[in-house]
Amino acid sequence: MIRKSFFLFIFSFVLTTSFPVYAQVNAEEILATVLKRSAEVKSFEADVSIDVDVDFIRIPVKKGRVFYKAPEKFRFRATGFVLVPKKGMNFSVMEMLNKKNTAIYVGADDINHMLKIVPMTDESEFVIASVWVDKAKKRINKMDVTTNGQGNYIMEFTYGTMQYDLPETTKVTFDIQQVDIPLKFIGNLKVDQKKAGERSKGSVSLVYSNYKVNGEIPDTVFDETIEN
Amino acid sequence: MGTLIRLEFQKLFRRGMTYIGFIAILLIVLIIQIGMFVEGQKLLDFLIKSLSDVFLLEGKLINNYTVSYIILNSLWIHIPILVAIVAGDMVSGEAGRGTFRLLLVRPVSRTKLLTAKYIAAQAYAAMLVVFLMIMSLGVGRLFFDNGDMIVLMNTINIFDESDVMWRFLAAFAYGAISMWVVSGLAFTFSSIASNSLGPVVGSMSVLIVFTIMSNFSIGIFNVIKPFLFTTYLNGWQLFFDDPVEWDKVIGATLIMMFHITALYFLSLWIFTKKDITT
Repeated sequence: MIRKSFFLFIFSFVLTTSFPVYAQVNAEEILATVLKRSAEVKSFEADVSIDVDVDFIRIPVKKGRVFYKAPEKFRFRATGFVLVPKKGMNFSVMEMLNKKNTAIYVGADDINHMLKIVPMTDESEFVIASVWVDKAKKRINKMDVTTNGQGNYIMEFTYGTMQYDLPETTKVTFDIQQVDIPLKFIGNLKVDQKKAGERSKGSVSLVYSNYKVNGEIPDTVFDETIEN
Repeated sequence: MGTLIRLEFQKLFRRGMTYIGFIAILLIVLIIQIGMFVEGQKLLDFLIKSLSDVFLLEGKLINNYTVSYIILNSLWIHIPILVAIVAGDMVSGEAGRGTFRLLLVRPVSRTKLLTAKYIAAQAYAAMLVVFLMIMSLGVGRLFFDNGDMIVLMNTINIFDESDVMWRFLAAFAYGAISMWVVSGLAFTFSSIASNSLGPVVGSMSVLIVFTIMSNFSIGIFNVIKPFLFTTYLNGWQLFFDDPVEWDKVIGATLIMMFHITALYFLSLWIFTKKDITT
């Protein structure tokens, strides 16, 4: 009897440990949890500073205020001219993940679950995305997106102590094409012909502060015709 | 000496030709400003379209500073012509009008007379530059707000509004020095000739030939380039690079100051040796 019980124990131990742990983790569930938590943010406004690091663009660090209202209203306001990265704002990521996708669990490190997101629609702007989701906090720490013809971009998020999953810093690293601006009177841009048209890496760092989440933001804020 | 300079100014502003430069600048600047006011944003949107793949472009780059920079870039080739028209007439005009002998029988030395004329010519060049500055930055304010400025140098430079004005003031100061060289050249030709057309055409010919040589990046021209004053005329753009290459600015300024001084002494030498027959 003891012998039988011992073999049964060994069998069940082998059975439960012979498959990788992550095989038991449901990627769709993780993604759903992330999206559910992000959906708690209906609107927000925050101060943001934007630091652009592209080798052929020199622009000082710009400060402004960003406004967002679900599902897709966005406005950046600042004095002067600002380059705001199209990709990598927190809500644009959520908008992307909210579309019809398939999530596949591919592994984990000490801190994150690692998922692959494959879009299930033809119109999708991306081909595949790797997403690192914090195991404990269930929020996205990093994302590597391969787009449909516009190269790769990587987003890295750090968070503060807020109850909402809104980042304190975001760093977006992207591919950017060397520009060849065809005008003389606005300067004398000497584009390296070897580099012209080539894609090179650039990055933008955004630092957010003074968040005001789920407050009332009038629609007029998002009106393009209103001057900064 | 003060009286002589004052008299030269009086003569200068009694001539209709003196106002051609101011009127030309007024019209051209207004045309550019109105054009940019109507179509500028569209034009710039088209030009920086390649950035819009990656960035949302927030804010207006067509503003008083950007338009002033465009005006400077467009006009800098033409201002020397306006300067040469007047400077080329300063000495030869007297000869052409037959007033030289009358002037020189008075107890005034040729050196003092020529110096007064040289100062008046250079002051006129400076006035044109200041007028251009007032028109572009001052009158431009009626059409546009101030704001961040985009400049394409070795990179795409976007300057914060607070970082622009000193660059313009420095660029205009540099521009005045470069126009003094052109004025000095036309003045030197003027001290040789006895009609006004020759010095204007002569100085413009030198300017065109030297500019062509300065812009060629081949063999022998590369050796000659540093010695041509035209290589430094566009140096005002250096103030819109980031960071400013001060060694280049100082070097170019010194070379131009040398030209201004050398041309003064050359015209003085020619004038004091000259046989006045008219």
